[in-house]
Amino acid sequence: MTTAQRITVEVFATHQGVDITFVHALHERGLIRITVLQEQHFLEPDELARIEQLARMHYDLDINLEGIEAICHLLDRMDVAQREAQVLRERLGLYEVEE
Amino acid sequence: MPTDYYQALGLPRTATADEIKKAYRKLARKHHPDLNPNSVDAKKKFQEINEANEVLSDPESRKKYDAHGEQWKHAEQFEQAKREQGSRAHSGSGPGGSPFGGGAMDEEDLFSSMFGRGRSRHAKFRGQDYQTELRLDTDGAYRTHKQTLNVNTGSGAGASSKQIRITVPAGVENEQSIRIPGQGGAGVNGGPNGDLYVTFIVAPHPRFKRVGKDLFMTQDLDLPTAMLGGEIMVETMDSKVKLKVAPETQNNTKVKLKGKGFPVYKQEGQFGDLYVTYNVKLPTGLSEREQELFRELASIRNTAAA
Repeated sequence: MTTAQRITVEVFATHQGVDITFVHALHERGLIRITVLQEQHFLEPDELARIEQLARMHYDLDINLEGIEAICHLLDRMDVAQREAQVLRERLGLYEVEE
Repeated sequence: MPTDYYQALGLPRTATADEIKKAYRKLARKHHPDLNPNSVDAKKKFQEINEANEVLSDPESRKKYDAHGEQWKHAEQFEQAKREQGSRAHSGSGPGGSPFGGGAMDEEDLFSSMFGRGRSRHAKFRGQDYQTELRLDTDGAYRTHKQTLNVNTGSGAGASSKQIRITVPAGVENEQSIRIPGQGGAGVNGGPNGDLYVTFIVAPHPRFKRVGKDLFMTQDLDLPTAMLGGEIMVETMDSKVKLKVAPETQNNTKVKLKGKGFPVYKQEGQFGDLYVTYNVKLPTGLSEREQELFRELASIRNTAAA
């Protein structure tokens, strides 16, 4: 991926009205990826929605970083559980006889 | 949606600004869509408390709401009508005057009154995210295609809709959501647009059952073909294939047709498998001749078993 397709942390932070330190703190906690190219810090385009979501948690819901970290783990587990439930529902459908 | 914003936040009408903020934060943490993915109830509840907060956290809007109740959005018109009545005796601003009372409220005031505090330290506001559902039949989820969507924008008196054309990728699952960046509500003060989230509701297929990328179907097989083997035609999602049936095929035998299942989401050219379960149909309404032959068959089998 070229740098033209990525967005710098600075541009993202300015655009979204969030602190640059907040974005770096998310990275330090392993919640997002930051790529360093030619001494510039870039965010991955496929992660922007997630970063916006984490920013909403922090700025709109007043949840601190520790809370965000815990929520992320729980949401990931919930996502896995929901996918499993969906597959199981579909498998169960194989045994259902239509009247 | 309740029209009583105080009730939505569980507060008395005498609540202070701080109490409103605390009540909103508490309820938002419980019902925010980010914390309740795929929950329609939470989304609805959050919209209620968000609207209540937007109005009550802004002193100007709250004053209007307290004075006019659910008609508070028209407070400007009421006030303007009053002012016009009063000013007819004077020169008046005329048809070219400001609709906001002689320019007393500038654009920034207007936005802050519309959108409340939000991230109050920042001038820019991101537009609202829109959510919509798109119903597809299984064929619609099988092929990548373009479809026009009617998206409801805003709520209450400001409700309207817009049409956008989206690409539905082959292989989408039932209840899967995709995000279309920038197609939500317009940003404010140069803020980015919100996003559009489309949830696909895929109707079940009358013949195929889908589990992820694999398809399952039942194929009737007549008794002679099951016993002696032969060839049958099977309809897959996109074609007909000839299947060789082995002699002495048992009821409920399952065969796998590799690559004849559902397309794998966002992996072009990759498909799951199709599992065909044979359902051997036993003949009914036997003629005398057929019965005779079955009796003969039975006696041969009994002799062989003895």
